[in-house]
Amino acid sequence: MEQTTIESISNNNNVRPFPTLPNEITLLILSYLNQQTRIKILRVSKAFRNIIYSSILWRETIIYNTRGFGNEALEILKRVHALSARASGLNDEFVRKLVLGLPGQSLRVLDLSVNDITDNTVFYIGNNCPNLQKLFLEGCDEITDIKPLINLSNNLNTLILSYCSELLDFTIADLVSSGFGENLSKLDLDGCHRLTDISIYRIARYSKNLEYLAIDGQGINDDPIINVFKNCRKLILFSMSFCDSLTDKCLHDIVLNINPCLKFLRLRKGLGFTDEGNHSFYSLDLSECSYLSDMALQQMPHNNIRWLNLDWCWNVKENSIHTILNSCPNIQELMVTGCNDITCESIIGKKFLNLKVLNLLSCRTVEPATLQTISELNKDLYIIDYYGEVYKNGKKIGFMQEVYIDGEDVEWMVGGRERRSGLLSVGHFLRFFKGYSILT
Amino acid sequence: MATELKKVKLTSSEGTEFIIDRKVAEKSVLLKNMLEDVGESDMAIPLPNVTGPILNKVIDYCTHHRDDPFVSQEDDSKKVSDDIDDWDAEFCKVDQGTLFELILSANYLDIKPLLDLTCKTVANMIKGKTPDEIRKTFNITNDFTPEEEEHVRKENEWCEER
Repeated sequence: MEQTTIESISNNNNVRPFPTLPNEITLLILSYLNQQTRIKILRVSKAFRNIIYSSILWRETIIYNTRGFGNEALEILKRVHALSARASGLNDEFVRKLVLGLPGQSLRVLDLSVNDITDNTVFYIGNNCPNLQKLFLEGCDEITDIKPLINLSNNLNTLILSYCSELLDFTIADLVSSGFGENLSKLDLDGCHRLTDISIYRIARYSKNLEYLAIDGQGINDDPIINVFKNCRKLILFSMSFCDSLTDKCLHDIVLNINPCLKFLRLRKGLGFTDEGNHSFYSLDLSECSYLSDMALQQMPHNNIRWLNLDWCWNVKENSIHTILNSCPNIQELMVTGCNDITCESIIGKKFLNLKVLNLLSCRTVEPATLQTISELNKDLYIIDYYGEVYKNGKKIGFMQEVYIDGEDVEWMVGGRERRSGLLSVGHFLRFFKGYSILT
Repeated sequence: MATELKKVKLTSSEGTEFIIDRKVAEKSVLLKNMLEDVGESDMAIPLPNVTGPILNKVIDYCTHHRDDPFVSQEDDSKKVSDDIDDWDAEFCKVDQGTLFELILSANYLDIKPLLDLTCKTVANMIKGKTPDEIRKTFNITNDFTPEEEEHVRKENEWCEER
């Protein structure tokens, strides 16, 4: 019965979707439509269904779930170039069918993030997708071993393993020192808490072409990090959460060895830092560096800085705010969540030309009347108050999660789906990456 | 004499004659190649696949875009259909029959930017419509039986956003 249905639909190849247009022109028209629109046209007529299933239209595809995925789907995807199946509920068996069913040579970008997949999936990918360039396995917390990816060393340049929390340190160390490391330009190991100094030393030694490196810093010491800054001279973005074990020496050496292309630096929760150096970043995140001194902050003339996060840096005093806002002429966003010595009274009456967002969430000593005054003078500024409510032009306009900056449409994609531009609310943590796309 | 001052004669399917600048004619890769092969000639080039009114529209387009640089589009570049400028959008405000004839002529004469523009216009007519609205817009008959329609709905559940 099932078979008859398919046949009765597809035995209609002589009829054209638009009777007056040759099929190659109809394909050209359809190539301007995205997946969601194409799915709708499938139901228009048999001729449309059949032409929509041309594999040339499916070079970039999103799998949303596993329902109805069979041989026919594999046939459509035989020329797929970028495939995203993020959080689609798939498992190892599905991946096995997928990579064995596709003539894997065509696949360049694969995103299987947030799925219940294990080391078996890594094995299937490593052995069947030789031309893969970008692989996203974010949040797959059953994966422990990534060594099978050695087979992809010729082409793979982007490997995103953030929050693969069970990933073993030695498998990363082995992988990067295998010759794999040299082609790698983007590596994300944030939230991989089993990382140790060993794999960071290897990354510093073998992955000299890295532009993007994100790691989880639990238990990582100064020396390997300094090596990373000495050896990886192409770094544009470095992000390290939980820098608990780093000291001022590290901060000092990072500043000493910094290359001119580094634009994004995040050293979250560096409890050992009391000092801060002079350099020129676009985005600097020193959140939860709670011992960073007020003095250090005041000596921070950042000409280029646009985004500065000092959340939970308890030593930030009213003076620092005043100095930062006055000495960083290009600053667009400043975050000081939870800094309880700030009143903002020292900036009343000042006009900030470039400042767009001032985040004062959980700053309990800032008076609403002060915010009101600052907001009325700086009409385009978005100010987030203690409760997360946003002031603009002297009025409360909603909560930080729901407020977007007028006219802003940024490319924010950090995941593996087809490149998208989108909106980020004024308080969104991804604003750190504003202007950095991992897909480029 | 500079190439752009030279004139070219074309005849439409009904035999109407059009005299245009060679530079305008060369927006069509078909005509450009013909002119290069033939060299100097006063003979009219017959275009039996293009009617007078459509050829008139095509010449309008090529005249407006005569100074545009020739761009070879890569197949991998991201295709968008919302980058149509005001003049081009106004140019495409024609009935569906004319639009489809323009597509066929652009294809026959090999004028890539015009073919892209007209195809984008059709794509924009499809966007945001339900299957039923698409059928009405383009006068297409639904030839699915209810069972077949159900089957088609189910077979692509995997790629449908919810």
